[in-house]
Amino acid sequence: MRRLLPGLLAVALLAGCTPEPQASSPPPDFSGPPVTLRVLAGSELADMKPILDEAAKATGVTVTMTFTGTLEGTDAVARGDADGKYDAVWFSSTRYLQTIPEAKQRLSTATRIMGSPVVLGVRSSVARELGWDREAPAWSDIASAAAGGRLSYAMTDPAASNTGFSALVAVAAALDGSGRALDATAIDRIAPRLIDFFAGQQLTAGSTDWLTKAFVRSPVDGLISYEASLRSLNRAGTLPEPLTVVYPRDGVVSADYPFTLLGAATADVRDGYRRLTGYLRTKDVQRSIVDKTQRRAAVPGVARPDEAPDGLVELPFPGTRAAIDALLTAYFDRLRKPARTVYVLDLSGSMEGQRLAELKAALSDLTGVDTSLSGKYCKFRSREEVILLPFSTEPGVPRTYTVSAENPQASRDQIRAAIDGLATAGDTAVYDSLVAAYGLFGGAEDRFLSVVLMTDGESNTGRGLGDFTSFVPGAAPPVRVFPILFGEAAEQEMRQVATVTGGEVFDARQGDLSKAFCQIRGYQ
Amino acid sequence: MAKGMRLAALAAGVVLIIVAVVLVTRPDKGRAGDCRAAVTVRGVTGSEKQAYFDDPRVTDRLACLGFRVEVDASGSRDMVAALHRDDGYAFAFPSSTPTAQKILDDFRLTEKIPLFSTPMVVATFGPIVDVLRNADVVQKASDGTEVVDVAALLELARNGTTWEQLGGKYRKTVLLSTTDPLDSNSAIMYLSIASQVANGGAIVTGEQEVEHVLPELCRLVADQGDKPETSQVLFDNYLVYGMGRTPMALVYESQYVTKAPRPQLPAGAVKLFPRPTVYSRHTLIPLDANGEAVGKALRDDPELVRLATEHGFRPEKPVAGQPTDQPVDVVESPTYEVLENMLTALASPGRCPQ
Repeated sequence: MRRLLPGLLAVALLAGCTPEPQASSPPPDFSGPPVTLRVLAGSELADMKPILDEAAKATGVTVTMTFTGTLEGTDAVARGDADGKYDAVWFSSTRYLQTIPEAKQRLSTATRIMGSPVVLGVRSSVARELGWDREAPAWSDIASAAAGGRLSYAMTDPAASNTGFSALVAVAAALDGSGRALDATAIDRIAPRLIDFFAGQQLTAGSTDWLTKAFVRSPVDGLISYEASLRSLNRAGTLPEPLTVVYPRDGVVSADYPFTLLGAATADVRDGYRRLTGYLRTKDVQRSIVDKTQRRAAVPGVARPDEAPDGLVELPFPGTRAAIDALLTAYFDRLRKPARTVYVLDLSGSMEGQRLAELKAALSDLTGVDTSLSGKYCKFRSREEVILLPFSTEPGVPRTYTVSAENPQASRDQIRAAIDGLATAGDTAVYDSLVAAYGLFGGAEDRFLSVVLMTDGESNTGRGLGDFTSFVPGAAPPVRVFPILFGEAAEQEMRQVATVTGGEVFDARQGDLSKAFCQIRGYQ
Repeated sequence: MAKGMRLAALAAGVVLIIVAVVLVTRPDKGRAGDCRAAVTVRGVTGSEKQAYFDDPRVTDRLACLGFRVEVDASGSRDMVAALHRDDGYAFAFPSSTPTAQKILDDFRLTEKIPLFSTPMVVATFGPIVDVLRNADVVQKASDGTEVVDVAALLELARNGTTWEQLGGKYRKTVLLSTTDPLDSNSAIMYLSIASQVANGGAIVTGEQEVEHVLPELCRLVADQGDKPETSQVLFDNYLVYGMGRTPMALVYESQYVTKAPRPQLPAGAVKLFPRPTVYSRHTLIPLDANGEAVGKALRDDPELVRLATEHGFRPEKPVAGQPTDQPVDVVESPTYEVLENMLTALASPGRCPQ
């Protein structure tokens, strides 16, 4: 170091630290003609609205955001559906998208706006017990705590959401320990230890926002999320005890929020894009982003959020689609705790004809026939238990399928045959059937449990909503119900069913039923 | 098969780099000074010169000389494709000799105007240099300056050595961070350096030699995993996130030494030449008379040359204010075709581990 000092000094003199006087380098002006940028964005970017409102005043560039999941957004870009409808995409990360040539070729320039590492928030009492408030654990320590029952945590579905995806990559890269980016063959080596890690996963969801809300109400110890979200959660003060933000010492994977222009954008839009992104990267705006969102700045010389540590190690991110697909496939088929799901399916008379056909097609999409980018991650996975519970005037006979690890497609084909055989008759006993579904979760303690309820009308026989809401608190094990609105479904009642069970309503009245079934997969 | 692969790789690689037309003059804001540009001249240029063409002082000066210059920024590989597609360009301004030669050959041109150059440097940190010095990777060159020995880096990559094994902190392989060579010229500069070192010091010329050095190149490129698509993103990562993310990065010297504006270097920032290094040579190729006139203005106008220096470039004819330290050991790039072969091979699942 001493020998280097003169060199360092020379560098310091050469490069200096003071900004150039304004006279020789005029401050950039980002104003210009009014233009609107239509942006397909990740839902976590909703918190940028105040910044973008200010930006519109300064630059004349108005941003309209349409929110979607990362994978769905990638799908839309790859198919060309985003061209003409949107001018840019803005997700927390486009790393997955970049590995898909059909999607990548539709992108133009990308500008990083901010950053946030994906880390682990642990309730402070638990962090103290584990000693993680004093010394940061390695990912292998986290895996040991999870396997030993000392840590439970919530993490999103890595195919549906970037936080889960980043965490999966980080833990896999850290456990691999080679220091190189993972390749497809590395996954088999590290699978046993990854299974330890995922033994601690108690809660999953298709979106980070939803997971965070569910976590707050749950007894789970930890939450894997963006540093920014965890800090915001602590700032909001709604938790009974704050979360200790744990930065695994062998490294993290960070989101860098590339605001990415689509290749098909017009010249006016391109000029607007250049002005807007230039403005967003000015120091004052970056400071404002740090303060309002708790994310980190994308330009040098802007302070980090208070007490956010410096010098985080960034783990290498796999650079090929083969490696990423191998990792995701391993997660679903081997690493994660498998699911048991009861599909409570309305086969009353009103479902006859078109509606039944739609239901069959949508459910069949989960049996490996949908090969689209997002569809392929929705299919039923190895080890998973799928129970079909059709109902009309009363609950029908449940049929249980366990997807074989050796030949999963054969199992999926069986499920599809059963779906094909569904036929309509009679009335609509929604709540009797839900109660019956709750009886089908015995002996599944180590699985993710859920009920998907698909109905096109009001319950008109048997138990009512009130009977069901008084039944739920005593039901063991507790199970979330995810109702899908379809046809003339009773929206208010379905919302209550979701609320009382901790589930979520998915609306397929306007859009497509396949998408609803697929999205719910992220919560199973 | 090889051809199909290559096309697929190209399609995948072509990417992000097609940045839009960036309007350089801003007549509506009165920034073009008192001068009114007579002709609009469109060019295609490497993205590392974008800031120069965006600088209002450059646009003002060009306007006074009668030109309103519009540039599309593009990666080297895409530039050639863009020229074959579009006949609207008055000049091409690539950032490497092989690309310039390829354009001259493809369009049967002879005139080229070498304007400026910038050597590749390693942007790193004091504590990293300490570790590398102990491991004999940072060595003394014959002129007494410290350099990063590329042969030593190749050996570490071959063995999968981590920083931890060298006494550093990180359990990550010791690799020089680069951009993605499929997207960006600066990583292609690294291939020029590394292939020659891996080839025993001789420039790689044929298919067989590419095959011979490929395993080494695969490690240097593939083991990094996901890489930034432009040299600016790579340099930003170095500036903003520090040595935990980017312990050492191969960047253009101009990025590090530019004064327009000066980068805010992180604490302990150090710049070393790799040994050997390579010059990124910025050669303007006129495609019509206007392009030629712009090229000559950039070469001969003292103010434009001074501004190029301020942007960190070394003009063809040395002037005051440019970096004076000369790298000791400099290699030339392989031909465009050889580099193209390397890129194709690097992107082929059967040839590099995925």
